[in-house]
Amino acid sequence: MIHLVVALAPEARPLIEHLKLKVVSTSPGYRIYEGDGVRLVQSGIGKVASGGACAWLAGWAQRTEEDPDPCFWLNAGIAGRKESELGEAFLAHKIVDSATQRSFYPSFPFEIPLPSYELLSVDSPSENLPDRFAVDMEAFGFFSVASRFQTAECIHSLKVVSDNAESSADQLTPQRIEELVQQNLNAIDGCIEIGREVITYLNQRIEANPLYHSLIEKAHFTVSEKRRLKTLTRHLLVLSPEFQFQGEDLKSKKIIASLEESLASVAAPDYAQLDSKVG
Amino acid sequence: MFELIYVEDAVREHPRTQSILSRYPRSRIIPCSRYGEVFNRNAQDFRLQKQRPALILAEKHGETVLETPRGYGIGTDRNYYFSHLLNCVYDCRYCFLQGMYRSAHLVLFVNYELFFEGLEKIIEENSGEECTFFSGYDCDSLALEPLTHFAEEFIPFFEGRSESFLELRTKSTKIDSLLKREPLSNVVIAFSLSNEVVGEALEEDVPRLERRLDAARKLQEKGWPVGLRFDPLIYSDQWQQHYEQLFEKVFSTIRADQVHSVSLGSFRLPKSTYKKLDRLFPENPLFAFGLEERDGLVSYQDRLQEELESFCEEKILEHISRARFFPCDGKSRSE
Ligand code: SF4
Repeated sequence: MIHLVVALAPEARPLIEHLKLKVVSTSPGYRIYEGDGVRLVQSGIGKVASGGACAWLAGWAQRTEEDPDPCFWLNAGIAGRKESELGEAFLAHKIVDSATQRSFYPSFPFEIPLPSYELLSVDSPSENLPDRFAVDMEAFGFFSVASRFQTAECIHSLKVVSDNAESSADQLTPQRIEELVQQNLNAIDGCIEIGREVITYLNQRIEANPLYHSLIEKAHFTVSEKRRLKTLTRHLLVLSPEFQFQGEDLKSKKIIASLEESLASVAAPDYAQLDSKVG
Repeated sequence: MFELIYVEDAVREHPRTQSILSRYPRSRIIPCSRYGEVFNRNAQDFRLQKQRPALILAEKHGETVLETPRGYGIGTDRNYYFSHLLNCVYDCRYCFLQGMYRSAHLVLFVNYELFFEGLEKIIEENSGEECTFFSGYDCDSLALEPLTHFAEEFIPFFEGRSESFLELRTKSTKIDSLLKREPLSNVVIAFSLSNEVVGEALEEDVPRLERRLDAARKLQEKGWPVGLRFDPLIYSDQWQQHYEQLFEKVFSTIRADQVHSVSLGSFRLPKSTYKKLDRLFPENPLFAFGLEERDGLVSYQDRLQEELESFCEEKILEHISRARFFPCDGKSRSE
């Protein structure tokens, strides 16, 4: 699932329309939209609001999904940057909190499809843009909270330059913001596509272990026995995919002992047959 | 090759940094204050990062040269290691580095000067006694040679210090800088070799056996002491046949009578590393077959280990004298 976090209504509107998202939660707090593997939450302005929206969205997803997929988090919105052209889309490769000087470094396991810059998250709008840095008000809050739920490879911030050395943020209107996002829907689509690829890769790694699920029903297992059962069944299936457990009415210890015995007698792996997908 | 290069502020102007950055004019350069901000963070996915690792240029602080664990050696009583580089461009499934760091990025410490001081100090402390320094403990010694010039810069340090040995352990074929200079009898180029089936299945992006052997042969011809490291030995279907073929190939390509040293050890990992790797690669049979834990180390069950090691030892000793053979004591880690 792609989790899009945007601050303002004029940033959210073109995305909701373009991605054909529908409201799925209007409970007090944050409104959540969803469609075709993408969820969007509109956070409001500032680091706290953005972090709060991430927590809200993650909590909502955990409550509503039985078997949650990995998520790719994308913070989309506008930012100022002195040296850039208006309307330039970029990704943040370093995010610095102006208040504490703490930094986050998003990690890129994919070819970076856009220019990338350092992004400074400030507490209040300022007239003067610093050299080199882009400036926004949300990304650091977004990263601080999203990184509690996902690894740094799956959390990114895509911004569109809305003000620069020649054009100040004062001149921005909701309509202009909407236009800027609208003009960069391709760039945003590109990042969503990358997010989907990353999720597919992560999903491949989630192990299916039907043997564990069938055995866990057969007896009462303690927490440590469950852990052992999980590893033993997985190892058995890796080495002997056709393995079937024989035996009825057994106690947990007996089941585990029997699996250990089976594992000890399994044939050595033939690495010439190893599927490259197994890593 | 590296789309992203993180550079610690402290080494931004270091000549080695400048020279590396000039090789990558199109890379995105990201400043950071300490490499740990990027490298040691929580919430990183090693396998995802390994798809496109970044390079981090950093400054080494503190002790640079450390004692190896007991049992890690090739003939001298005193053995040390130093790591100018953390992590590896290759991707061997059995590599303990995967469980050691949270990140798959490569950290290069550019202030080689501090390493020279560290080496100097240890050599002085051991006044006159023979010691060996291993450089391929946390990385492959030569895989990034065109970028780091590590061998090129460190080998001259060992000139005229005949009591100090340097081992460059590698699976790489980046040997140009070695072929260009005169060999030193106290610098050993040690090639890690696996049988071809294991190599094909468990060593990604690594030069194939033939190419490694060809590099070893060229170095031998040039006069460099060449070592062979059969570590880790992996138990598999038809393993005897696979290892027999390996030894045949090795000793028909390079001159056994000129081999500096041979070491051997079966697959083993510290328990905590094993657990991490089994989680990272839940479907890989390497972590599922025939293992048990002994004294905090996960390795093959006694019988399998004994079979594997004694068979390979016997085959190797058909070519190499026992004096040049160094089986691993099973307590130190594999390559
Ligand atoms: S085993 Fe050696 S060559 Fe392979 S990834 Fe590890 S350090 Fe690199």
